[in-house]
Order: sequence, then structure tokens, then C-alpha cells
Amino acid sequence: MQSRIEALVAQVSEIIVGKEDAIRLAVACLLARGHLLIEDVPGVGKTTLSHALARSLGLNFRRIQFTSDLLPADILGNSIFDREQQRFVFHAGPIFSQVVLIDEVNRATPKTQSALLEAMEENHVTIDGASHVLPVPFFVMATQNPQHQVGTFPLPESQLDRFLMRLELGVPSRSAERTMLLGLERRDLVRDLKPVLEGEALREIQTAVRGVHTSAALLDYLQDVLEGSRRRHRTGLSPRAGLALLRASQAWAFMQRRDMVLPEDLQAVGVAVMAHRLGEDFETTAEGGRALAQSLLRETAVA
Amino acid sequence: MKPSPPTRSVLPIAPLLGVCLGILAGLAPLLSQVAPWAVLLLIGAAGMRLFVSQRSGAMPSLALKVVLIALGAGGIALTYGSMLGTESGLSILIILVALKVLETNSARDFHVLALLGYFLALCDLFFSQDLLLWLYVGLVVVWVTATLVCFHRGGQARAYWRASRTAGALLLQGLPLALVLFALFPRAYGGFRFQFSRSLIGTAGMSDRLSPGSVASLALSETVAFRASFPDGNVPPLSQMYWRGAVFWKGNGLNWEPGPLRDPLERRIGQLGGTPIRQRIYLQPHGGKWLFALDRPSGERTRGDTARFDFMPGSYLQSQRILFNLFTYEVVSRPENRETVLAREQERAALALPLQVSPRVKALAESWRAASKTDREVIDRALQHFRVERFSYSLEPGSYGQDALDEFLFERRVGFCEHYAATFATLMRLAGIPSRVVIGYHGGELNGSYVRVRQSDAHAWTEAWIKGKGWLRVDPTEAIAPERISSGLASYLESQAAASDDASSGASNTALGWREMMREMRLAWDNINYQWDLRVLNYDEDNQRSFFAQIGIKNAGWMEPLLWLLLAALVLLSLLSLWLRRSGKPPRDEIGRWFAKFTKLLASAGVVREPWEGPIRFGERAAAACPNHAPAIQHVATTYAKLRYGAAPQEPRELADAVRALPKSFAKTGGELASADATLPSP
Repeated sequence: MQSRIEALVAQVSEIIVGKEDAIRLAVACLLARGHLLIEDVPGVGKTTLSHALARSLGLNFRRIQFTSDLLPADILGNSIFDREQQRFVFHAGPIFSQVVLIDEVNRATPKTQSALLEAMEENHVTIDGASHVLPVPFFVMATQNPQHQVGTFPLPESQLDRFLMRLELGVPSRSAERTMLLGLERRDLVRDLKPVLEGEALREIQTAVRGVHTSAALLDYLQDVLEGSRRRHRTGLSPRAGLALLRASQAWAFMQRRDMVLPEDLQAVGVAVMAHRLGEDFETTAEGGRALAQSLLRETAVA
Repeated sequence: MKPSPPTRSVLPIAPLLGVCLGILAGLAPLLSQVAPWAVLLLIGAAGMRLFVSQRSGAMPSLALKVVLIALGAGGIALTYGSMLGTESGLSILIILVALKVLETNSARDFHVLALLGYFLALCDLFFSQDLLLWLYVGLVVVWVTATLVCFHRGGQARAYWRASRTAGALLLQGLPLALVLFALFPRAYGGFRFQFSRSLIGTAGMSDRLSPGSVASLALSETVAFRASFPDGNVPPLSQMYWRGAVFWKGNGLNWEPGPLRDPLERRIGQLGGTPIRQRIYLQPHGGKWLFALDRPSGERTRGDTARFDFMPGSYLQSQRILFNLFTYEVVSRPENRETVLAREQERAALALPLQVSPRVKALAESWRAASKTDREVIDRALQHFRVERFSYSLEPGSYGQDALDEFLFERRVGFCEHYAATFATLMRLAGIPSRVVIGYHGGELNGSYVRVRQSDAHAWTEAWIKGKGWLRVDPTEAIAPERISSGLASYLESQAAASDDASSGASNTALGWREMMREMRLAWDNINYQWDLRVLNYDEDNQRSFFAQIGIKNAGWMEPLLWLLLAALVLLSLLSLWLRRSGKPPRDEIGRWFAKFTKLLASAGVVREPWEGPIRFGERAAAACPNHAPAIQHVATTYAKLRYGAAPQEPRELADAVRALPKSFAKTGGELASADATLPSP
């Protein structure tokens, strides 16, 4: 199974050159059944990355561009009266697909954001009193611009917590940029991608990830990290964050072809999982969150 | 451009409330020393900051603060008339603290407030250095520290308990260093005391005249007057302890005062006899010049004698300066008196009669004189008179009128020791025997190695001149209430109370037991206080020098202690950091021990494991640094990872074998090490 994951990573890496670490983390996030937030300045390939991932997964895929006038019904769907059948018929919104790409999630109003995040948390949506189950697997990739850009509604702390990981892509290296400049148009490349991981295989992998062994020693270490954050910051990591860290570490360990989680796995995903949960601490920015997460890992001893 | 200050309250309320409470708690013992309106201003400012600014977000304007400063300055000028002096200085400080509270709106302001809290708490010690107050100040310091900890942890109210535990631990960790500083820091001035308040002193204790009620008013005061130890181990019985304080020569009825004598004519060594009793006396500050010594101070020099005092006419001691600090001195007394010559001047003073004496009193004294052959017999008759004529001894003798002497002797016959001493001395003078009144303390409580004398032990007695014998102590109180002298005032009062309360005699046994227990607890507490005074507060330049001599540093200047101080601080801090590092590590099991052996081995080869480094990453780094043994190293790392983090049951032997397979030492490979630094992944 791991070889297919490697193939997936390799394929996406061909599109997004020089960002293999970020891509691996994104895949780990997917395998851990978490949702992904990608934050960076425009034009570094956020959207392309999510496109490429969705295509390579062979899942059905929708993209929603968030704008400030977007309403909850625009993403969830609504009931419309059908004249022929003489009753209301539910028209599912774009959220009813296995991979949903939300572009610029912080451009929509808080009302719309919360509708989306509620769906992410509950895995179903309720419209006009009727409950509609979302497809499985259900994977949300959201991109957002850095918060200080004009016309954004920053996601509140509680909702950032719903994303398992937050990634920053960053400007590519000089050689990677050169490759990109010389190569074909990225969007065309994405269109031609072939799926390397079918839906059924993905579900199997996701189940296997849950089975990766977590020893008492590792849980000790994980709890040391959590306690460290609570000791040092106003609001430390929540228990939900602890669970997220555990699941992400399991996925990472699985990708490393291991049947147990090592502290190294936790450290590999740690910054991506913790940074946005610590970033709202007073007077810290996204950069600050990363620094806090890194120093937290650096100061927690592995027994 | 300057950044404008925030106009909204940004500080969490819990630590803010905490620091305000800490400041007020630190202020509480000072309440009687500062202007009350300043305290009210502070409370008002704290209330406004906490409940108005915190809610509405509106910080007070500059204009308001300026008005408050002006009002405060005006208030100080009106209350004290000057900015100098402890009281007005403290009041100004409080006004400034109030203003600071009002404008506090940043982490920096908060820290300033906490520091002010510490400072105010320490100010308490200006006025008293009682052990209880020290403990209280310690508590306030812990509280302010806890507030700081709480603030830095985000400032939730529920975090306070844990924060105060942390604060306590922090302060305890600082304690060894504080002790070292206390012992070694050069003392440039005398002692650890900086008490300079005059207002608390002189409210109770001796006065420089004797009037009816002046001793009785002290009878219920538990305040300690002084403590005395006997370095030579020569302790007289309590009933024989007459602590001589002052001698009064000039009497007028029941009122006596020092008199006109200036020249201490009796100060001559050799006139006193008996075994010398060396006393070391720790005198509580009383704002006067009195010093106390057992009857009678001989004027011999002693080894530990550093204090300066004068002999006054009547063989009593007086300090050369007014006592505002705990005063320690040594004095030698001898119980026997062998004076033979009474100076003319003193004889005249000791026979001077009051301006006006009623005929009845005069007749009484003359009848004794006529019936007796010797002076001794006159004294005996007088004492006998007190004994048989139903005189009574009372704490509340009431006040006497115009001719107090007459009224006391013939009408009321109720008095306390000062009444008897004054009357007796007057009667003796009327009978032609030179006499004088002595005031001081009698007895005390023996507590281990020292005697504690309280204000309630205050006493007055007389001395009469017998030709050929010298000044003879006569205590008329002994004739009236012998148990007062034999067992002390407290037990005398108790027995009086018990006698008047016969009905409850069944309960008196338990009551007595209780009293006994209370007494013992009091004595134990007093002993602690005494040791505190003796060893901590009294630790001055001399004591420090002798301490240095004890640990083997002779003739220490000020440099040497400083060097020792630095050394001790260094040792302490490194011990502390070692302990902190150790206590953070959980105990290791067998697998852990083998892995520790492995990391130690690699550390000797120059590859040091970072605390956060996981086994595999470390193994890779070590393998890269020591390529010759790369497979063996990686084998250990993976084996450890498997045993520690894997699902399989743990079998340490496998790891032990892997570690044993490594060579005993690694050849250093130099250049390759530098390239293999440990770094955290940063995706």
C-alpha cells in the first residue's frame, strides 16, 4: 500500500516542483481523515496543489470559490419546489463530494464559514430539518490568504481547530522555479493526471492508519508536549489537538512503512498540526505559531 | 511617531485583582502609620481600575491623573506639613501606587505594580520586626509572586492555586541563596534592624517618675521588656531577681522622682560582694535610656561588653543614648552590699521630707522610732504594721486624693507595690532612716537558658540605709502579699481569682491544666522569638566576624566575605540546576538504561543526543558521524525504537546484545561530525 502512496506523492511532486515535504504532509493529513488548510500568499500554487491531489486520488471533486457574498445555501444546497412532483426536492450543494476544494476560505462571511466547518465536523448537513449524510471519504482542502490581507474574515480559533493541519507552501527554490518556468502550463498538467489511488484503496489505508501502534512511551511523550504547551501559553493545546497530533503521527508512521509511532513521526507532523492552534496566542502571528510549535518540540525531551 | 497607548483594558482581571489585594495586604500593618485618606484613595483607584475601566475599557485620562497628583500633594502638605519623615514618605508612596494602579494597562505596568507590592510589604518591617510580622510579610511575598506566575500563565483565576504552589517552590529554591547572602554579605552597619519609628515606642513601659498606678497600669501587659541570659551559668532563684531600673530620691507622698543628685558617688568597685552574676541582656527598644541589671550592677568590665552606659546615683545604669533598637549589653552584678560610708549629699537627699505630711502619719513614724532601739527594729515594726493592719494588695486601688499618704495609711489601705514602696520610704525618712525608692522588674519567667521579663513584672521597692550595713533592700510588698514575690504576679492574680470563685472548684483542675498548657505554649513561642532576635535580627558586624572566625576565616576584611559569597552562590546555583535537571527525568527502566549507555558511548565519540531527539534520528546522525560502525549503531537505534515504541512484548536482552556488540570506544572522525548537527524538521 505504501508504494501507492509513494506513487501519489511522486505524481503530485511533478506538478508542484520542490515541495515534497508539504505534499507528504498533505497526504498524511488525508490518510488521517483530517481536513487541510493551506495558507500562503497568492500565486505559490495552493490551488494547483489541491487540484493535483484530488485528481490523483480519483475521487469526485468540486471546487468552491469563497467570496464575501456567498451564502450557506450556496455550498450546502437547498430545497426547491418541483412542479411536476408537487413537492420540495433537495438539490445538493457542491459540498456533497468526496474532495472539496475551498478557495480563499477567509473571504466568506463568518456565517458561511461556520456552515462549512459544521459540515466538516459532523460529516452531515441538516437542511430544512432533514439530515443529509456527506460522502465517504470526505476531505476538505481549504486555501486562505494570510490574515493581514484586505477583505478577509479571519477564521476564529475554535474553527481553525477543525483543520487537522495547516501548511504553508512558500516561494519555490530558484532551481524549482526555473523548472516550473521552463515546463508546461501547470493547469494543463493537472488536467492530464491519472488517478493512482482508488477510493476503496484509500479507505483501506485510512483504516490501517488507525491500527498503527502507539506505545505508552509515545503517549507519555505526546502528553508531555501537550502539558508543555499548556504550561507556556495562555491557551495550550486542547485534547482535540492532542488527538489530531496522534492521528497525524500515525499516518506519518504508516507512510514511513512502520507499524509503530516514533517520536520522530510526531516531530515531523508536529509543526503542521500545532502551529495554527497556537498561533492565536497573544501577539503572535502565523509565523509566531510555527516558532512556538517548534520551540515546544525542541524543549520537550524524549525519554 | 510614538505608538499611542491602548485605550482599552488589555490585562486579564484575575492577576490585576491579585496584585491589588497583595498591595493592600502589604499595607495592612502600616495602616496606623499612614494617612487614612491615602489608603482610601488607593482602594478607590483599585476599585475604579478593576470594575470601571476593566468593564468599559476606558482608561483614565491624563487630566484626571494630574488632578489626583495635585490633590495628593496638597493632602500630604495639609496632613504632615512636610515631605520628610517616614509617615509622609509612605503616604506619598501610597498615592503614587494608587496612580499607578489607575493607569496600569500593560505587562510592564503590571510588573511595576508587583514590585511595588514587594516594596510595600517590606516597608512593614520598618515599624516592627516581630517574628509574626516577618511570617506575614513572607506570605504577602508568596502571594505577589503567585500573582506574577499567574499573570505569565495567562491570568485565569482558577490557575491561582497552582501558581501559588509554583511561587512557593520558586521562593524555596531561592532560600539557600538567601541564607548564604544573609550569613556572608558584608555588614556595613550595625545589625539587620532598620527600625526607626518613634511613634510605637514609649506607649508602655517604665516612666521616669513614680506615681500611684504607674506600675499597676503595666500589670496586665504581656509585652516583653527584655530577656536575659546568664553566660556563666550562674542563675539566681527567680524570687531573688530584682532587676534594678532606676532609683528615685525625691519623694512627695505617693509621687517620687529621680531627684537632684548628679554625681554617682557610689560607683566604687569592691564595695559589693558575693559571687558575680554575669548577665547578657537583650532589651526591647523602649524609647528611653533605662537599662536593667540584677541588684546590683558592680561596674566590672566583662569580655562581651561592648555597650556604653553610665552609672547613676543609686547604682543604676543608664544608656548614653535613647534606645530605638534592640539593645544588647553585658553586665556583672553581685548580690551582697558592703558599703560603709554614705556621702553627705546622698544622706541629705535620702532624708528629705515631703513638703507636707499629716500629723497622723508623722505620729505613726515617731511612735515606731520611740519604741525601737535600732533602725532595723523600726523597719520590722513598719513591715509588721502593714501585715497586721488589714492592708490589701490590689491591681485597682482606685485614685487617691489630696493627702494621698494619709488616706492610704489610715482610710483605704488598698494599694499596689508603688503605693507600698512610696509610703514605706516616706515613713522611714520620717523615722530618721535614709531611704529611697527603686523601680525595675521583679522575677520573670525562666525559659530554658534565659529569663523573659515582661512589663507585667514591673515592680517598685525601697532601700534603707542601715549604719554599718549599707543600703538594704526592703520590699514592703513582700509583707502584704508574700506570694506575689515568691511566685510572681500572674500566679498571685490567679490564686486570688480562684479564692474568690470557690463554686467552680471542681472545674478548676482542668482550668489549671489548660492554663499550664497555655503557659508552656507561650514560653515555647517566646523561645522561638528569642532565638530569632538573637540569631537573625541581632546578626551584626561583630557576630559576622565571630561567625567567620568559627568557620576558620580570621581577620576578614570586606573583600574576603564577598569572595566567599560568590563562591557559595556559585556552588548553590550549580547544585540547584543539577537537581532541577535530575528531578525532571523519570526513573529509567532496563531498556532505558541500555539506551542511556549507548548515548553515553556516542557522546564520548562527540555525538551528543539532544534531549528532544528520537532514537532513529539520533541513530542516523550517529551513524553518519561514525561510518565505520554505522550498521551496529543503527541496529541499536532500531532495536531500541522497536522495544520502546513497538507493540511486541519488551525483551531487553536484544537491546543489551546490540549495545554490547558496539566497540568500547569510537575513533573520532573529526570533520564528519560537524556536518551532522541535529536539526528539527521544519516542513
